[in-house]
Order: sequence, then C-alpha cells, then structure tokens
Amino acid sequence: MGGTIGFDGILIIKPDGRVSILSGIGNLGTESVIDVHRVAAEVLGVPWEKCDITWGDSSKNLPFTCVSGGSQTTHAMTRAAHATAMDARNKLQELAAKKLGGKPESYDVANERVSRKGGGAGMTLAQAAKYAIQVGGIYDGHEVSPDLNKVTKASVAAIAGQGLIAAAKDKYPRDGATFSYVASFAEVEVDIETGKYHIVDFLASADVGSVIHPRALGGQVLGRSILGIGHAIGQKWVFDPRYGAMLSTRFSQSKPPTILDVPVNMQWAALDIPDPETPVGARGVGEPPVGGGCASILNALSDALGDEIFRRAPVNADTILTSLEAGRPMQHPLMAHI
Amino acid sequence: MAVIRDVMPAFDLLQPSSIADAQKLLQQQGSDGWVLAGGMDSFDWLKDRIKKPKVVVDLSGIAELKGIRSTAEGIEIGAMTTLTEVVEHPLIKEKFKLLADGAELVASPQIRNQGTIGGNVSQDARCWYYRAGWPCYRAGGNICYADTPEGRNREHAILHAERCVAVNPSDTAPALIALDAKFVIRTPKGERIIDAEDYFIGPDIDITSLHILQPGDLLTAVRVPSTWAGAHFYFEKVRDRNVWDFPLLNVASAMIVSGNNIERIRIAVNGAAARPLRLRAVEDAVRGRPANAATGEMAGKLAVQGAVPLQFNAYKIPLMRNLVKRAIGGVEEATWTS
Amino acid sequence: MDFLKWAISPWGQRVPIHIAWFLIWVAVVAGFLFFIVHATYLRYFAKPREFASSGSPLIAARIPEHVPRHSLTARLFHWIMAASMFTLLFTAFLPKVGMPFDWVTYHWIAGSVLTASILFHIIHASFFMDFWSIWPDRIDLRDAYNRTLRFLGKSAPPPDKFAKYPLENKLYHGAIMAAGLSAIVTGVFMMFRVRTIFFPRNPYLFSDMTWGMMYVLHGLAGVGLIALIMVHVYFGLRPEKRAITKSMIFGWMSRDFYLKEHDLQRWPVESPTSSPASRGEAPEALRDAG
Repeated sequence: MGGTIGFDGILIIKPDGRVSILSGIGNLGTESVIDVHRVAAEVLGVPWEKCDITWGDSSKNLPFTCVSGGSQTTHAMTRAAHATAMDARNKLQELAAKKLGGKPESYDVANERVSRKGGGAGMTLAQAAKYAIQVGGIYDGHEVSPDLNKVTKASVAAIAGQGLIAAAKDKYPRDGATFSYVASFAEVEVDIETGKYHIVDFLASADVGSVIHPRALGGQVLGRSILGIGHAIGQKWVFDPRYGAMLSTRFSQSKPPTILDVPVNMQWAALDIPDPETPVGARGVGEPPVGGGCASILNALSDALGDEIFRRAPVNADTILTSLEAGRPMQHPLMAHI
Repeated sequence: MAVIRDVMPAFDLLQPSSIADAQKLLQQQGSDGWVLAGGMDSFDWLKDRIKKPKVVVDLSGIAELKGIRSTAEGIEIGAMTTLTEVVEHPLIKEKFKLLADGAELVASPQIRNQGTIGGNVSQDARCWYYRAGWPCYRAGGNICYADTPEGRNREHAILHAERCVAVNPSDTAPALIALDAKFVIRTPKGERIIDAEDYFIGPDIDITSLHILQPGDLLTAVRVPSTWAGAHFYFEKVRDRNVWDFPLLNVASAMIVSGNNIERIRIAVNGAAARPLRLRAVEDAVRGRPANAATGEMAGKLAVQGAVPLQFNAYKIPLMRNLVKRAIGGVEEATWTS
Repeated sequence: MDFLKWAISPWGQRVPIHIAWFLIWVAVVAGFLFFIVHATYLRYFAKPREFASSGSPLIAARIPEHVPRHSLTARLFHWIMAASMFTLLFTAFLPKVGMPFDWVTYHWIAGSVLTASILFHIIHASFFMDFWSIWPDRIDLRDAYNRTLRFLGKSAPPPDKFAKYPLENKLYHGAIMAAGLSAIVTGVFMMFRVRTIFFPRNPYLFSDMTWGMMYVLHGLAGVGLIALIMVHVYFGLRPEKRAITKSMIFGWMSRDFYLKEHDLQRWPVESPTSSPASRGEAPEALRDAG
C-alpha cells in the first residue's frame, strides 16, 4: 500500500499573519504529523517558521484524518494539506478582489501578501485575516463547504471567527491504486561452525514518490527494515502444540532485534521521482521496507548456504547447523517458530 | 478468567546489613525465605506471580558481600559484586580475562550493572515451560513438557538429561570452572569451600534445583586461585541475538601451552546439560598434544559422545563439537563451496 | 492434613499430582505398630490353639517326612517377584527420603519384571496349581465367626485345621493383590511417560487430571505395599512360622508341622505312590466312617 485519499484539512490564517495548521495525524514519531503540512507554507508563500501546527487529541478541533497505519499518511494528508492550502489561496484571492476590486484570478499569493499580479494593490495575510473575520460567512468558518466530513465541520464550527479559515476535502483525482516500493540488498557472513551469521552490509532503496522529509524517510526505511530483519534473524511467536499456550511471553523469549543486531553498515536511498497521480507527488512508506528487510537477509543466506536449507524465518544457528550437518534441509517446511 | 500477571504478590522485605544478620534471618525463615541479590532472576518469578515467597531477604545492603580483593592465593570476589565491576576490574582484566570475557557476554549492559556474580552462578533454569509456572518435574510435578515428542525443546539439554531437560543458563559458571574457582558458602553448620564444578547439580541429584544451596545457606564469595592466571584463554558464547540472550551453548577454557603442546587444560561447556560440564575426558585426551585443529577435532568428537538429541536441539551436537575444537585449536577460516 | 499434592495444569485446572510423601512414614510406623501389637498379643494374650480333630492316624502315617508345599516354579516366581518388589520400593522411596540417585530406569525395569512375573503367576496359579486354594471358602468364614466368639469368651465349636493357607493368609493375599495390581496397572500406564524399550513415549496419553489420579493411586499402592511387605517379612521371620518360610525356600515342610496345623482333607498331600492312602485320602471304609 502507499496511500488513501479523500480526507480533510483545516488551517487558519491568523490576524497576526501566522498560519495555524490543525493536524489530525497521530504522532507516532514518524514526523508525518508535521511534514505533510509544508506544502501549505509553499502554496501560501509563508516561511515555515511562521506556521504553527496543532496536534494531539480530538479536543483540539482537528479535521477528519486518515489512520496512522497502512503506509497511507504521507500520501493522504499531503493531498488534504494541498487542498486546504489551495482553498486558503482561493479565499485570499476572493477577499482581495472583494476589497480591492478586479477578479480573483488577477491576484497572486506570495511573500506573505496577496497582491495584484505584476505589482500593485494588495494586502498582507494579517490584513486579509482581519478582513475575513469582517466578511464572515465562508471566509472565517461560519459557513463550510457541504462536502466536508462532519468531524471537520464540527471542528471548524468551534474555531469560527479566529481568522481566515480554510477547510477542504481532498477531491483530487487518482487513476488506479497507490503503492510504494522498496528494494533491499543484504550481505551476510556465516560462521559454518557455529551457525551464527552477521549482516555485513545492507541497503534499502525506496520508491515513495517525492521525498518530503529525508531524515524522517530514512528513519522509516531503516527502522522498518529492522523490523523485517528481525523476522529473519530471530523474532518468533512460539506455542506449545499440545496445550496451545504461548511460550514466548517475554521479550527474551520472543527475541525482537536489539541494537547490536542492526547491521553496522546500513544505508538507505530514495528515487525521489514524483508520483504523477497526487499533487505533492509523495506516497506513504511504513510497510514496504519490512518485506525487503526480511527477504534480503533470507536471500543472502540462501546464496551463502544453498537454496534449500530453510523455507521459513527466522533462521538461526539451529536451522543452519542441522542442515549443514545432515547435508540436506532439516527444518520442517512449515515449522520455524520453535 | 484472565490471570493477573503483572503485580508482585505481597511479601515481607528484610534488609540486613551484615552477613551474620542475613544468615540468621535465612535460617529463621527456612524454606519461607527468598534470597534477593540483583533481582534479575527473582523479579521474573515474582512479577509473573509464580513463586510467592513470604519473606524476601535483600542482600544489597551488605557491604561485606561486595568488592574484589587480592588475596595470597589469588583474588576473592564478593558474591554481590556486579558483573560490570567484574568486567572492568583491572586485576581480572589483567590475569583472569576469561572471567571478564564471560561476564561481559552476560545479557545486556543494564542487566550487568545490576546483576551480581553470585546471582549469575545461582540463577534458575530458563526453560520456558518451567518459567511459565507449569507443574513440571523441576517445579515438583510429574512430567517434563519439553521432553515430549512435540515439545518445544530447541534450547534444552543434549547430555545427562534425566527426566528434566532444562539447561543451566550461566555464562560465568563455565569460566569459573575453567579457572578452578572455589565458592565460599556459609551454612548453619559453618563455612564450606567447594570447587566450582561441585556447586552445580543435575536432576539425578536434585531435580528441583540447579545448585547445592539449601534454605539457610548463603554464597558469600568466589575465590579464583592464581593457578591459571595469564593462561591461554578461550571463551565463546553462541546465542540467537547479539545481546540480551542466554547461551545456546558456551565454552570456556584455560590452557597452558609450552612449545606448541598442551601442558594442561581446563575446559567447561554450558547450555548442554542441567549443569555446566567440565570436560575431563577431553582434558585428559589432549594433554601433551599440539594445540591445533586436529587435536581440536578429536577433542570435539570426544566431548559429544553420549549426547542424546531431542526433537529440536540436535544442532547442539555439532555446535558443541565445534566450540570445543575452537577452544583448543583456535578459529580458522573454513573452505567452503556452496 | 494434606494427603495429596495439587498443582495448576497449563490450562488452569487444579489437578492432583502425587501423594504427600509423609505417607511413607505413616506406612512404616503402621508396620512397626503392627509388629508391636501382634507380638504383644501373641506373647501375652493369645491362648494356645485348639483345632477340631481331623484325619486318622492310619492316613497320617502315610504322610511323607517332607511334605511338598511349593514347587520349584512357584518358589522361583516368588523370589523373582520379591526381588523386583524390593527393587521397586527402594528405587521409589529412597530418593524421596533424602538419598537421591538416578532411579527411574531401574524402577521401570523392575516393574516390568514384576508385571511379567505376576502375569506368569496368574496363569500358573489358575491353570497349573490349585486355583481355589488362595480364596476364602465357607469353612474359613464359619471358622472365623467361631474363633471370634471364642475370643470374646463365648462358647463355640473349635475351628478346623487349616487348608493350605489359613484365612489370615488368604486375606493378606487379597490385600497385596489389590495393592499390587493397582501399582502394576498404573505403573504400566506410567511407562508411557518415559523412554522404555517397549513402546514409544506418549506423555499425553491421558488428560492431566487422569494422570494425576493415576500417580496418586500408584503412590497410595506403593506406600500400602511398604506396610504390607513389612508385615509379610515380619511373619516370615516369626518363630512359629519358620517352617512355612523354609518351605518357600526348600519347597517342603516337616510332617509334624503339617499334621499339627493342616487338615489332610482340606489340603491333600501328593506322595510318590498313587494309592488313595498315600494321597492322604482315607480308604473307602474309613471315609464313610469319618
């Protein structure tokens, strides 16, 4: 998966000229909660430092947002953020035309001002916000577009009158389904006397559309690769077959990867090719690195030891040694979580 | 009905400040008393509400039990000395590096900061059936759940299993046996000094305990004689993860080599049986032979004679063979064609 | 007082797992108490035995000096069974009272020997020996009633001399049969819990509750056998039973002892010749008269 569509956004241009963005994204530490809204600063010509993000819980009057899962957030919410920023831009143009005359299309939004193209009459965003409150109606949130989700409508109603309020639903088209891809490469070194192996080198290369926040993306790609690597190198859920009871109830028994299991040489890369089906060009990325992380290790082990040694992950010293000792695969094809 | 497993059952906490007081309390309490050293073993039992002692005697306030001191015969390590102190002590690093190596591979740095050497050698089995509180032989019942045709026994014993197939999980134990350490125990009948290898017992002696301490006894110190100081040491621990994991198998050896021949050697393996095994037959067989791979191979084969694999732990046979080989002949690059 | 040890099974069910081991000492003490009470009774309170007379001197004269009692086969069975029984008791209980050693393999091997010998005994005694001789008969019960009346000071006719086995003997055999068969049947099932040469292991042959009850029954039978064997050895060493003990070793008892205690008609003696007289049966004429 790489993304969903159809969610909402809310932003307020405040009478002091700052842009307050309401972000309904769950903050898992992925930084999407903030990243996806950079497009608002770009579209509105406002420095990022003048944008304030509000997030955290549903009492904060947040818009209807996708769940933080399924690799969808960056895709869905950059679209919603873009739609909301465009709504703000349109409202700025309309307000300028109303106040200063002419058609909305003849106004430009840049450098924290809305002003006539080619120079001339205009106002600052702060002035536009004050004017929006004066005008009321759809410009300060007292009326909203009917296609917004009811959660968004309720949030807007609660903040109406605080400035120029933009609230929009992502109605951009999309042809087909959205997927992200990660190609993972691993090199392992196997000690054939003990069955222990080390991951000598690792690279995960991501095709996730436009890169919004490199460090956050790197964190996702490497972090989720570790999840996949963990499945390959030892993580497991073990049940006793007679009683059906779980035996791996503590971390020391289910063995998630530790920091010393992370490959010392671990790199990531991204193609940064914009996705043509979405305005910001960015797709989600949470899940794709996992499969690659696991499969690259298993493929490296197959390359080192022979194709048939194992059929399932995790692969540890026991699988490797019994197969090497017997000269043939010794692991039951369906049984690896032991 | 859900079993509540995250609140410790109530107990009386006694915190003596001297060995004499601790002994008195332990003798008073008898089998109602539980000795608490670093807590790294105890808290698992208590938090899972499987063991519910009435009284816990906490040794952490007893200064006499801590510290490493030089003696005429070698060094003496107080039983409550943390593993980190053991790893970092200059005398141990200089003369008894085998112990520092073994101690440094225990668990994780956080556990080593809190865990003690006395606790590490006295720790209970980690068989997950036993630790889940199932009524197995070791818990006083009449079955071994791991030693059934489908039991999940990947980490269990290949040697000297008698009804119970759990293994001893200590890393310092084989190092101390290889260094010919002595354990100082205060009992109600007076002080006893016993060889390290006699501290540990198998199910044929007592199926419910891995060591010889009785209620009322206290391990006060470990004494390492200078006999093997500065010898050629080898320690290797094979585990699933690179940190925070019990050994699948480990090997510790101290070897005095003159010319290229083995003058004398002490070698011990843990994780193969319910007690750390001193490999006397191997010691006798290699004496006088060159310390090379050929001798190592012979020694390895001898070491695993009589091993009985269970359903999932046959890999421990080649693993033990190879670890013994390496202890004697060193680690070599192997030729390999896939 | 907890006679049983309980545990929680992996499915959270409370199941018994074995008897409390203090019952070993209860059995031992019971055995000793029996010795004391019985010896005291016999020494100070018992009256000399009186039997109704039976048999004629003529027939008695034909009884050989060595009265055959236990064939070689029967004796071999008894001592093999005894050796396996002692091995079973020592391997079972010494580790429980503080002498730990690797006992399980010896225990099931001895148990297999016991089982085989008992199976042999059942067939041998049923088809090749006098099957009925070990079971109480009407005369035993009548005599028991009369002996009780006489013990209480009331008047009643004296009991007959014994058949091959006195009633107490037969009752003891019944008790040890119950304890022995319980131990054997549960023991054979319990062999499925360990590695033997006979069949593949199946530790989960029964449910946890069933296994628990089986271990409890095995334990109760075992401690019962402690007491029963103690009593058996005691009687075997008693002076007035010495002749019987020797017959289990050598196969015969003396003519005098036989005539003193046993009824020729209830326990006929085989002798080398085949005439009725030599078989201990009265000649035709005398039988009608007697």
